Amino acid sequence: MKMAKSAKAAALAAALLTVTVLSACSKDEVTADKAAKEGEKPNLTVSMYDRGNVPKEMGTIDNNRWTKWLNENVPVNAQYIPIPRGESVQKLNLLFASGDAPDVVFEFDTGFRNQLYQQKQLLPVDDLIEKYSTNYKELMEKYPVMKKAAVKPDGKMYEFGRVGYLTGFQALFIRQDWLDNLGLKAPETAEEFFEVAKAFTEQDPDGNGVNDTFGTALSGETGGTIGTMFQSVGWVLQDGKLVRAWDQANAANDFKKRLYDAGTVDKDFLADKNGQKAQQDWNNGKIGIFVGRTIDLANVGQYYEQLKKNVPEAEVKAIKLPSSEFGRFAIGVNNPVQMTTVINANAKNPEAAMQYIDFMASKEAVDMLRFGEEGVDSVKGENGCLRPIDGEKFNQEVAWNLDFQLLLSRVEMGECGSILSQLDPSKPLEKEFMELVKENDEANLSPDVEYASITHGEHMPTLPDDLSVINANVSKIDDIYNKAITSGSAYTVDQAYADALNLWKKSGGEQLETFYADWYDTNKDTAFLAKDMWEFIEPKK
Amino acid sequence: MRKSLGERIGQAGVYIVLSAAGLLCLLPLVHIASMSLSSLQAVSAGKVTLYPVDFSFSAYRQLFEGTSIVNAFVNSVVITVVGVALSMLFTILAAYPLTRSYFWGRQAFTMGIVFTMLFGGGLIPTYLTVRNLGLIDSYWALWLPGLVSVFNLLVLRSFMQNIPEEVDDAARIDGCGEWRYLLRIVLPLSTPVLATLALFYGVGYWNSFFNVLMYINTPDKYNIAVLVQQMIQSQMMLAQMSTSSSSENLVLSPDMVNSAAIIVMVLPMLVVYPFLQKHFVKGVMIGAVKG
Amino acid sequence: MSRTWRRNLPLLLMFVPVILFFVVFKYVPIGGAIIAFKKYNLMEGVLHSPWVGMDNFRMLFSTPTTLEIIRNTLMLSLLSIVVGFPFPIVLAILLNEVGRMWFKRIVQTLVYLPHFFSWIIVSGIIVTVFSQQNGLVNGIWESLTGQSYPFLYREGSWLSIFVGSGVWKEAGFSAIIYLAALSGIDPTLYEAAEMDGASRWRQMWHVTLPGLRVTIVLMLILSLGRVMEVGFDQVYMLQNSSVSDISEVISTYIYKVGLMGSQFSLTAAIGLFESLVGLVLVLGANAVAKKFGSGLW
Repeated sequence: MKMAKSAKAAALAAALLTVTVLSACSKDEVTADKAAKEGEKPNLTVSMYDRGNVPKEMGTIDNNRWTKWLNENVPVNAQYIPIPRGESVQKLNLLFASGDAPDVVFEFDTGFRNQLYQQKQLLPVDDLIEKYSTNYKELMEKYPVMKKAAVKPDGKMYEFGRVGYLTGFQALFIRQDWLDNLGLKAPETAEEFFEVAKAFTEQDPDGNGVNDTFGTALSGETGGTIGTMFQSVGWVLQDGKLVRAWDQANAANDFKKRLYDAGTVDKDFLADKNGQKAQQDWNNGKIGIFVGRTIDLANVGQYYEQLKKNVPEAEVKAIKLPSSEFGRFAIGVNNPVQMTTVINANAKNPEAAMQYIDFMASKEAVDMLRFGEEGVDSVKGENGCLRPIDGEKFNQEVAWNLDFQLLLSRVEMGECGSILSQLDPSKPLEKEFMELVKENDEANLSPDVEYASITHGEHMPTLPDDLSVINANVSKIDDIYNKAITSGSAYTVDQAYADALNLWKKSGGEQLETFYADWYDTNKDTAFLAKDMWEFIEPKK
Repeated sequence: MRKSLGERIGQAGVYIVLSAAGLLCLLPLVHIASMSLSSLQAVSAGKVTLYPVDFSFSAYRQLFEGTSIVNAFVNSVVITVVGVALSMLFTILAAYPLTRSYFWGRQAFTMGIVFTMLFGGGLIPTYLTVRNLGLIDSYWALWLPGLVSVFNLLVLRSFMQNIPEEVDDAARIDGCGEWRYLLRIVLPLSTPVLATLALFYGVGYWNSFFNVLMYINTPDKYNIAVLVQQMIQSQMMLAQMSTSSSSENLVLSPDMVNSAAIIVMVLPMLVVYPFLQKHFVKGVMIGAVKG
Repeated sequence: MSRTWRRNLPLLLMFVPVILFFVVFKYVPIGGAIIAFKKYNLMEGVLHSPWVGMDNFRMLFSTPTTLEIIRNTLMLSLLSIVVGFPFPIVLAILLNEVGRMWFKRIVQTLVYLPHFFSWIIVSGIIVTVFSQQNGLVNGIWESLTGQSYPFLYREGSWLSIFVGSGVWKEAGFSAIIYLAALSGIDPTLYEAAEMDGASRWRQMWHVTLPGLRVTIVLMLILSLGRVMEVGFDQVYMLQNSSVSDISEVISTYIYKVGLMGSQFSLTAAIGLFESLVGLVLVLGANAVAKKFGSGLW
């Protein structure tokens, strides 16, 4: 009655909706009940990323070898709802808005999961784990710090995840052959970094007589890493308080401007938004210092093999990030405790959901989903780790089931979870890459480097709605600094800083400062921070 | 009649300008086609410009082998053909009454329709409506919410209004009813614009991507636009899915698949267009007036 | 009375399904726009989420960048319309002047092609052509002036590239509608003009253009209704830091805000504002057009 007064027309339209909503809902329940009576196993709906990468012969993402295998082995009857990978948040929003969301939701996006929590769409899972879980409970007992990552502000756990060892993710590659040609050594400080980049640009390091090389790059991950060198990571600890990293940002951008003015980087780095051009230049042997990755087998082809094909004499090292006045930092590591899975608050059978999740986290599922059937898809290699028998067949049968592995904890696989165990030392290229992986682990995890940020981005708090608008408004500060980098003497970093500060104040940046400072103050003992990440370094044997 | 010098220069100018414009539009297509027909090495080294380097069909092989592209192609054709038919039908049914001066509420209806062009409820309310009608996971969810494009409706109405009044008067004297007048006189006289609108609707349905992802849940029902998009994405994601070390795996780059996909998507549109051009004949009206 | 009834009955029969469509699929969802005045959350849905009055609008207009963003949106969009609008018309008229059918067909098909390229592709082409380091244009520029010019990073040249690429991509496709309109012109008018000794140029001016007038006015009104929706892809793919002062528009801003949380209500408020601006412009343009006898109603 009240509603009709406030907005007649809207209510009319809405009433139409409700009627249909109600009828649709009741219909759903009927079918669900019926299905539950027919089979013995309880029914469960599960979201599954659809990347369109299931080979035609294997069926579809919601009906294939692995969904069948799972349904034979899980005590529930799981039905998969395909979620297009590229539009997953949009699609899940629609499903939640219409009450059709799956019982178990796999989603990488931390912000989105937090939003679901804030909107009370998630089920607290402490009791479920206590009552119905064995595998996951065991994992949590082994790594109690996991709880920190799963707890939401109300003190209850809402998420499940996977645990891996901490390893180097991004790597600072340098052309050792260029260093040797010019009689230089790898840079240890930012200043040396600059000098090497300059020499790489000006002194024809590849000896082809043409001035066609760049010292480094400012686009993509390389640009980000140069920021990390100066700890320009947004929010940093200062005297026990979490504050905005202004000094760091100024220093980093000053340095980038010097690199730009000295001609050591591509002038069009602003147009190279995802760093594709820089990657192409690296592969063609035109860039001396570049940030790539050593986390996955595909990185061999991406960052190394192509370069070696184009420039056979190329020699690459993965070095430590040079130090700056702010310290010496890790380049980039993986998130050892990655939350991936939540249970819908409206799940009809939470127990079934827990059983499903528990199975997905079991050693049995880990081995099977990762390597396929032993003897059929994979065999044990010399190092005792399973390895595909036939690469092509393996890709066809197993490799695409990646998104079924969102609860696969690599720590459970021991050494076999590491990329090193998957590389083949009998192939020269892979043997060389193994060296790079080891060097990069050393560069990222050695005791004299620290993590630039207080924690991995996925463990940072999610801003409430009004603050996230402010955050979007101040994101223009990056543009302001970029403009300073490319504008020569017409627009200096100091001027950019003044403008940035002005925008920060006008937009209400202080509210962000208060939020982060308060959050850190109250949560520094309970939040999942860098020191927790460092607990996951693989124990040396 | 003999042409003056000025006119001949003018004619030459027209040909030159149009040739330049055509060339400017052709070059990127040639580049894209070349990318799709080159080897990974050549593409990733940025060597491909206007002709294929290390000619290779691998991008197309990737598209056609092991994926359900044929099925998706058929789905696209179904979505497009049925969608165009439905949309044209409703657009005609909407446009014609609005051209009749004696139609009750003509002005109010027009305003009400234009209003929907400017205001909308957004994705969630539309989705809820479609869902509550039980249309999720069926192509009706693609056809119905966008059945009539207000833009196209107004274009059609404007063209129909352009039919000379003498035609109308003559038909009335013959005792022609509304339906017969519409079918026998108005529609034949409107073939150019009908062809145009069919093309507009067709292109829209053919390219529909986001709606398919939101409303369709069964991968078997995906159309070619979705398939192609996913292929490009999974090519980028290759980093995560490869388990044997890359060399044999990484024969393609996203650029190549993307290029091949564009060619596959555009080709049917290229084939269809000339057929529609045939309907842009000059002077459709005169026959009617005289006859 | 009965005569008008008899004439209206078949028309109504035709129109009823159309009304049904607009009510069910347009007007019912429009009700959802009320979340612009609410704090929408998934738990309580469209109906039961709490009312917040004008809060969302206040939040929107209290941020310092909002006015700049609205100004940019209007500027990019109006510039695209003012500069881009004549191109399809000119193209159609030029094609109309071509006597050789095969030539006309080929050119017509070629200029229609770019419509099917996504903005990712087009932006790639633009970088190849205009980049500072190795761009094609800069190659020529450098050989003439001895210096490279940052075409993509100066506001003036970026704007030209932005507008120009829009023209390049859509002119051929938009010309189709004018080509269709051209076929409606009575050829006897040309014959009569020729008898009077009118040159091609005068024929173009006195026969062709008047024949296109209605379509031109309609297209103008419709494009004004879309002033607030500069294509997201075009801006997003072409923008870069150096030009962000003029390239941040409403749609890219929504994308940014949306990335950091699902701001359903704020997005709806922005949408409502865009619609209102569109409505004002359409009403205005229509009032002017009506004076010349070709309004929408």
